[in-house]
Amino acid sequence: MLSSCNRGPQPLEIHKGTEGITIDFGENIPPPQVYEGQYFLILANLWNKGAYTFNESRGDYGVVNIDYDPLYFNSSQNNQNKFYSDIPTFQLAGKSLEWPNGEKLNKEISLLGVNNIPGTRESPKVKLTASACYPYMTVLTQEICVDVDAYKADQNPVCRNKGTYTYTGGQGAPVSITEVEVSMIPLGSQLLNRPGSVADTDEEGRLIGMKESNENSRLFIIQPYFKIKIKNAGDGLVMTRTENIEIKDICSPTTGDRTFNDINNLKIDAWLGGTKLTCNPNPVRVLKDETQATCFLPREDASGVNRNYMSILTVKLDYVYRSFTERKITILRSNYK
Amino acid sequence: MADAIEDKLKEIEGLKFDKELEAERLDSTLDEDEKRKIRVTIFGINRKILTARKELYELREKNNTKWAKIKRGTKTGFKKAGGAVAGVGKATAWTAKKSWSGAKAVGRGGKAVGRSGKAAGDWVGGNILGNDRVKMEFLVGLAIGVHLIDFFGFGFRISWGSFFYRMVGYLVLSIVAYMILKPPFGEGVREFFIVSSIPVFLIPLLDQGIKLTGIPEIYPDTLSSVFLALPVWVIYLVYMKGLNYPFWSVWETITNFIAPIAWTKFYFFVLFIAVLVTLLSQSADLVSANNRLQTVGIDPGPAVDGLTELIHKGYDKFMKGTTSFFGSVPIAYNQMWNDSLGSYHSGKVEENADKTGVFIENFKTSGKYYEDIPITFFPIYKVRSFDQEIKMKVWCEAFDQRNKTNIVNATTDVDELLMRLEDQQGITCEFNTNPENTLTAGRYKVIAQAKFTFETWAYTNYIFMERNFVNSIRANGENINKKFKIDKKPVTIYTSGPLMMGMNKNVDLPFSIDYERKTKIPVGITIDNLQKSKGDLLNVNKFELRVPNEFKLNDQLCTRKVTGPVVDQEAENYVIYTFENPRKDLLQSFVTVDCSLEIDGADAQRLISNSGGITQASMIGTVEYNYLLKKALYLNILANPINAGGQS
Repeated sequence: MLSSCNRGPQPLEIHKGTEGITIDFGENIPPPQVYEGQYFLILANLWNKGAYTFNESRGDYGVVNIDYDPLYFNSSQNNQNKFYSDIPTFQLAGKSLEWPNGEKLNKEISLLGVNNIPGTRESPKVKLTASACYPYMTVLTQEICVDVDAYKADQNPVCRNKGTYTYTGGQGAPVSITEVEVSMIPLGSQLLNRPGSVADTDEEGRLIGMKESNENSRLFIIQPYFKIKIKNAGDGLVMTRTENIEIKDICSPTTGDRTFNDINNLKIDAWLGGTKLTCNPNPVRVLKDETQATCFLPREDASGVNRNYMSILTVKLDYVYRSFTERKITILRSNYK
Repeated sequence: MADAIEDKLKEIEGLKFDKELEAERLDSTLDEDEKRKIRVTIFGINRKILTARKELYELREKNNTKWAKIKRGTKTGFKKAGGAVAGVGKATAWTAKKSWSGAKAVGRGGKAVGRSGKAAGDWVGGNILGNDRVKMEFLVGLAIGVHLIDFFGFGFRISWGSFFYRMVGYLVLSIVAYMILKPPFGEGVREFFIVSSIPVFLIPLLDQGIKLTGIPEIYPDTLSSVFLALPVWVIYLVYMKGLNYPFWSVWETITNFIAPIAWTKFYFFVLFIAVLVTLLSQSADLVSANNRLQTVGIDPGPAVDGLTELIHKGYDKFMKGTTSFFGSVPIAYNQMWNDSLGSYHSGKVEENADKTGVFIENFKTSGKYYEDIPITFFPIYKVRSFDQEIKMKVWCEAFDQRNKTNIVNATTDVDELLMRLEDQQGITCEFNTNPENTLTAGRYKVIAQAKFTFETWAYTNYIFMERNFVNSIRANGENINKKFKIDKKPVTIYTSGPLMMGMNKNVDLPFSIDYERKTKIPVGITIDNLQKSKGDLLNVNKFELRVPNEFKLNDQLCTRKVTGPVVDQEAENYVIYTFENPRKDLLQSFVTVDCSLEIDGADAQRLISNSGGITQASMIGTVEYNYLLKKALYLNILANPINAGGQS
């Protein structure tokens, strides 16, 4: 009876959610109130809630930046004693069997000193902002029907093109693919009057290879088109992952050597089965948190197939993401209270 | 229930008929004794009619009649519509007449709208029930709100700065009234309501008119109190039944559902008592002072004083709470208005648990004061500051209200105080202790004063980012403020004290600065003595701007002569620019300086690279000035009772 109530372990949904790495200040570190002349630690809680694990071979690492008003705070201790690096970095694993909830890291970022309050202000409330800037990737895999039967001649097809796939829950990354619109563009057909190769599928219609056939059959040539809608579902900023620029430079809110177009772009790659698709535009610029790209099978790769089959569409978005957190800190006068 | 109402109406009609019969008996042939008897009978019938009306009202309340309109006989005063509205004027005039003759103008104002009110009178005789009652409650609430905002926010001022906002308030009220007061509320009611706004809007002129009589010189606070207590709009609404009856009728009417809405009765009862006590206390002093009347037996003065103090304490608390709420509305509007002129920079005062500054407290009258008998006041000077040690000169003066040139200096135990942090010291101000500080019988304005040097600081936090980066983000349609959690405009916080100090906030954040070329940033400071009634700004000693040392002030682009920079000893990496002190005659109004700050490419890069790219930097305005703080009270000096007795 009891065992009947046990549902067993829930399957781990790795590619689900709209968060990447979140950053928060530690509880009471920094404290909400500090005194003049005091030093206090800045602790950032970093948590990779998404699906992407940093890949060292790609040079993946994240950086943490902290911004404050130098009228009220100073980092002179850091500079003198080198307690903390100028640009703190981190690497985190995404959700996996090893890290079911993603990897967490409490990162000590800096030791700040509180300056004496100039003038007659009693207790300034000042803002401390921290940001985590990191490379990330969104991966979508979708089973789709490669529907070659443009004339609807097949009375009992393995599958039919569903047209549009929508996604509301994200793919375990701050940038989500929200919709994939599938079109099968017919390029023509040819009658096979001699025995030859035809598509070989399993029981569920998946293409498992080509097989020799002795029957006369018609081969259809189609070009699959995918219109992919993308949305910045997080509250951070998308930045371009440029291969030859260090992450810390990409994350710097200055253009540096980058051009105007390098700021808000993301790189898109897609595959149908094992064939790489051509995506246009690429990189794609994110405008007002939304954008879309079209990926298609190059014409030269489109070959004739005699019937519908199931295949896997894989889309990868490559970008750098920056998330923020802030805390208001009240400075108290040490000579008064 | 309907039968009971019908019966009650018949009973009222019958009583009215009886009353008419009795009235017809009154003719000149009767002797005085018989006439008196008939009048007593009519008086009794009147009472019965009123009682019957009350009962009828209750019946209709129970019956939840949607629209109750009591048909009153044409010969009763209630039904006279013109009288009803003229009565509002008369009643106002009556109230005012008891205090000042000048207030007759209010009465004229009421009469002026009498014609519109005639039609309104058809309605005003009734009681409002059901949905109409809810509408009327809303209108009355709105009218009270507008009145209170007008009083606390603008002091009923007709000035170019407040005119627009007052106009909007009354316009909204008029529109709402126009929408609500449609038939069956009565023909002409809404026209009456809207036309009657004119005397309300012109209260300041009334104030000026009364001042010509000289009376407000004696009663400035009372005048304000009465204006506060006379939300004329509301009175028009609530008392439309008319007050053109003898006092008993007015009182009876007030206490017996003259207000068509029950809760307004309570509101007016409280205000009526408060005004009455204030008037009584002031009138008692006036009579005593001017006519040198001596009282025998129970002296009402202390009793009234005690009650007045009690009311004043409650009133003060109410004022503090209400002023802070309603005061913020016009302040915000005025800031918008002034900012739009481009020459006035505003700020928000720092929120402290206790305000910083200098304050005079415990300066008040108690009981009666006589000539030749020593009079001592104990003002307490309080200081709350941080860095500053405040040295102040303190003294008390009495100004003869009949002869302005006659100024009497009090003898004080100290004339200088030295205080810092959170400190308080009391002094004694003595009159009538020697020939130099003698106050003869009469009315005086006594002022406790303090002259001191004070500093006000204003802090504005800016966010700077590199120009190309900002433009790239914006060009992509991103909301950079939302993405980077940055406020859209800088906010200036200034320290609490006698002066307001604002700084330029007409820039968008983040402010983008260029790595390639020089970037100019507008900066401006305004100082203004917003609390002119509490004291005078005597002169400015220092007027400065502190900026991070990456920025340079272009002295050619300043509206005031500037010197500097010098390194700031107080804030690391800051420099100070000093402006020429404004002339004394300019301090009566606000003083603004506008300048251009500049940062060149290399400095911009250094500034931004020292942070995570979202660079915060504060600009600080400071002003050091001499201020004269004043706190006044009004004092009646009575003739010495012993001397007066001897004379009689």
